[in-house]
Amino acid sequence: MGASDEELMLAYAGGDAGAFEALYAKHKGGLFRFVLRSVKTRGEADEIFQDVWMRAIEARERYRPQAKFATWLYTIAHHRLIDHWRARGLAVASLDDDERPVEEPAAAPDVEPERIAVASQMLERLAAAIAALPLAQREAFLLHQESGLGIAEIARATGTNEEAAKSRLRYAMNKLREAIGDD
Amino acid sequence: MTDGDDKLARRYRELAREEPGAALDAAILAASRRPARRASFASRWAAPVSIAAVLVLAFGLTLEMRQEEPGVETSVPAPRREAPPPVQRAEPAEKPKPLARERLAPAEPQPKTAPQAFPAQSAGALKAPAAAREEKVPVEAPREETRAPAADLQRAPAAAPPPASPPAAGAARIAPESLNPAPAARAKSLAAPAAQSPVDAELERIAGLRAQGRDAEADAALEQFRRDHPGYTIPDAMWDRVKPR
Repeated sequence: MGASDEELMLAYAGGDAGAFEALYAKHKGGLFRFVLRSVKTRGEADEIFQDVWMRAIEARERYRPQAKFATWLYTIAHHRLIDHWRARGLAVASLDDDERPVEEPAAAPDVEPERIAVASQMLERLAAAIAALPLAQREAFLLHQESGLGIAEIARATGTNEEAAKSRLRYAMNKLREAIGDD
Repeated sequence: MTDGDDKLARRYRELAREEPGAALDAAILAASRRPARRASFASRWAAPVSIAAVLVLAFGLTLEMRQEEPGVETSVPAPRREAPPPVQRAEPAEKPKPLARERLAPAEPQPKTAPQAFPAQSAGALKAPAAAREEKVPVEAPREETRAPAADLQRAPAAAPPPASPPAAGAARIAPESLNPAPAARAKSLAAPAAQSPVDAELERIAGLRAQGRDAEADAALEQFRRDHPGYTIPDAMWDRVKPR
């Protein structure tokens, strides 16, 4: 059994560049998709994704394994995304607003044209439904799917309580199941 | 996890195949191999110096407030004992009231001029109200008077009318007050930085830069703040003040 993420990060802080490469290889896909589905364009996703890793790199000496590495990494991503949303006039307070069309379904095809083009109709509907979720619900769903975080860790990463995290995830999954006809 | 959840997760996996580009991978891995950036002298010492300053201010403020609290702390009577009663004034005993007013009325604006007072002057200033007190208060009970001036006022209502009581009660504290005027205002100004954490102070500094229109410096400072505190959520109100324009 290999070293845990936390051990790898500590090894990296101690000067082992290879440890970071292992961490990056493990988490880059999930983090990238988490960011990609939280913003509108791939350009924004690239910028935020790189910024999150840069912050993790710069914080290496201050890293303390008080939680799972993934929780720490996605907490950084969450904060970076909050900055991004705020800069675009989206109030963080309205993250839970279920009524507000945060990202209109019509915007979904613009998110990833090439991906949507090759996807099946059902997957198209799923992608559109994910894009249409309120920010907080979408974030909870993506954290659950992409990082494998549990309810408690999602709550910690997003700075909320477990009940709220659980509720957001449940709402999101119900909506998505409905969207792909699995209801 | 329910069967529906599993199915949804499978569908999502079919959808989720995006990866960062090779150029992005290369840039991040290259950055990871660079040695850790050493904090500058200023940023290395900013936090300890801020904390030390806050502690010193808080300690000074506490001492100051203890000294100024009448009738509670044991340190209050001390200056009174050090200030010996002035030479017995041969004031005519038949006119105690006008004298007290004459002396105490000009004493009221004294705090305004006190900032310029030097210790020597304040020693002189100590004499006047002390003399006024001499006329009003029985000599045999000075300590009791400092502890409960209201009781003394009741005992000698004619000599110490209510409007004159604040300066009279403050006679023992004149020296510290004249050295450190306007304690309430100063306490307010000291309390504000004392309550601020280094993180808040840094955000305030950035907000200040932003308010002055020094956006480039504010952007750089905000970026640095983000690097130094990647896990810190800037409150909405503060974000409105520091966010990039």
